[in-house]
Amino acid sequence: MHLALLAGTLAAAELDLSLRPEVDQVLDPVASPLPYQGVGAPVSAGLRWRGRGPTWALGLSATPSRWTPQGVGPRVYSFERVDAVTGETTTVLVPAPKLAFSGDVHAAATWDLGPLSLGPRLDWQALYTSGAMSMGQWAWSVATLGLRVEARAPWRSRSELGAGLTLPVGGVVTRIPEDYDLVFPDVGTVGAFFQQGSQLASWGHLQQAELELWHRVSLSPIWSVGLDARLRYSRLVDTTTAQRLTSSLGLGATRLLGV
Amino acid sequence: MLALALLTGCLQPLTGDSPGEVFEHLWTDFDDHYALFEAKGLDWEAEGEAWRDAAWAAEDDDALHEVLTGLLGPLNDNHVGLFVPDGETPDWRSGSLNGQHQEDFALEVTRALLVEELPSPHRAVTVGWAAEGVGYLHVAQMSGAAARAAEEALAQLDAADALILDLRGNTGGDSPAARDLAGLFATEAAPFVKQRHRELDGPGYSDFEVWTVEPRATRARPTALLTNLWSISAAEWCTLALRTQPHVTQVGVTTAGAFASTVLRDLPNGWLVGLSFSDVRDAEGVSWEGVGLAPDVEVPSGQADLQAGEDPVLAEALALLAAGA
Repeated sequence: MHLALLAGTLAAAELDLSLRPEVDQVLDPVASPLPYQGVGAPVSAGLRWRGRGPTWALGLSATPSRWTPQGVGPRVYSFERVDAVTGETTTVLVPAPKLAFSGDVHAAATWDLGPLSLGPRLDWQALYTSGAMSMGQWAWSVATLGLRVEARAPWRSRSELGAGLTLPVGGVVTRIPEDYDLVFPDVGTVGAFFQQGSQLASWGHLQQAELELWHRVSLSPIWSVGLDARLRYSRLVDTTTAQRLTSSLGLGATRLLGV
Repeated sequence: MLALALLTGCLQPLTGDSPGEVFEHLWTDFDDHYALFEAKGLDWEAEGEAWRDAAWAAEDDDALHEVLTGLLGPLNDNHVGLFVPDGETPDWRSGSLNGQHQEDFALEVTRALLVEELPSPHRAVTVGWAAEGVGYLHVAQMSGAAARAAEEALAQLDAADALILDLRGNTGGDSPAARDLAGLFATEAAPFVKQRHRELDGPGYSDFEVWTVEPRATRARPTALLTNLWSISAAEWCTLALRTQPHVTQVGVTTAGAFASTVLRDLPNGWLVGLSFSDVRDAEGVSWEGVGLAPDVEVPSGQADLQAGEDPVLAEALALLAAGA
């Protein structure tokens, strides 16, 4: 997202790195009646360059996070173990796993139209946990084709304010099937997930909006730093409607390349 | 950070967490997804009615636990359990395993009785010679890695005239791994399992899918398959597959009787419940859920045998194989 910055001074290319706290919330009735919340710090990188016509952008981020069900404290389960030979009984305490992993990849091409930039954007968001949600495997994959709109304006000296909005027009949604079964005789778990859980989705089934706001300050002809906030809400409408809300706030640095 | 903090808790739970609401959520979840009502001949509506008033009258967690275990108990399903995450309440299961502990098998005792133990490629696999010409393989879990390791281990027993496959204490895992493991001992292709799922929009079921054991053994060697109550789930799939092979004899005691695919589900109060979401039958369509697979040769044993360093099931298997079983 930082790749949209400083478009007016965009050189051959910009490389962007950022680290920011993120809160990710999911409510998927297939897995749980409880909303789960993950807190992590995505590591993001992106590259942006101007072609003959549009400005191209590629970006990716990866987030390990700790997930817990909202409104429920740390969960520890108690299991008795008995030594088969001695008969000695011990109690084993098993904490509920918490780790989840998410990743985002996007590619966009935007054309300048006055103060706005406009163009198509491809996004893929994935989220996976083995154990954090209902102590089982759970995954979410949403690949979308959408429209990206950006607006930028100079603010004070050497700084810029900007906003971006991405709205998908359709995509491919993959969720854990409601019958849970991801094991078929000749298909692996990952293959079964995408084969069984995928469906094409238009706006009626995939309602999503991503809003970004940023403030960027140029430190030198090469470096700039900035503060950005992002909010994305996804709603997958089905017999069991799932929701995801991701919000982040953080710092990023941009290096102009080819200067 | 303040802005992020303000955005936490935006998504709300599907239902409240009072005892009555927890009960209704669990009952509805099972009504929608549990796949064994027909196989077990259970009237879920009646079970719900029997416990509903008590659930709404429950005033604390202990009372709710009593209601939910009362509701789930008649399922007699070892995959159905109730788990309270307070670090104190023991896990509860609906079937024969509830409150039970394995007291008739200890791998270290059996290993000590082997004539020779061979190097194993995986910690879940034990391989060796149980007697002259009799190879021994214990598989502790059903996973793709364990099945592949078993194949590698079995290659060391090529000179064996007879084999023992020990699935005691194997609590299951992946059903494809169970099929693959069985294939290492099979010489005949045979359907062994039919599985179906609940339809998502009604009380019906999907069509049965048929699983077939694929023979990979180069020759039919007399084989003893050792089972106990702790041979569970995918271990029972493997047992079903090997029961199709004429050269295999099941020795020990009846298995757990829990064949379905299963998933853990949150309850609105943070407790977990295990739910069986497939209906698994043998190739003839018979459900062994809650019953288990009885051995061809029953050999009970117990803790006294283990304390004496003896394994009567292994001894009986060796006797059968020596007699040409």
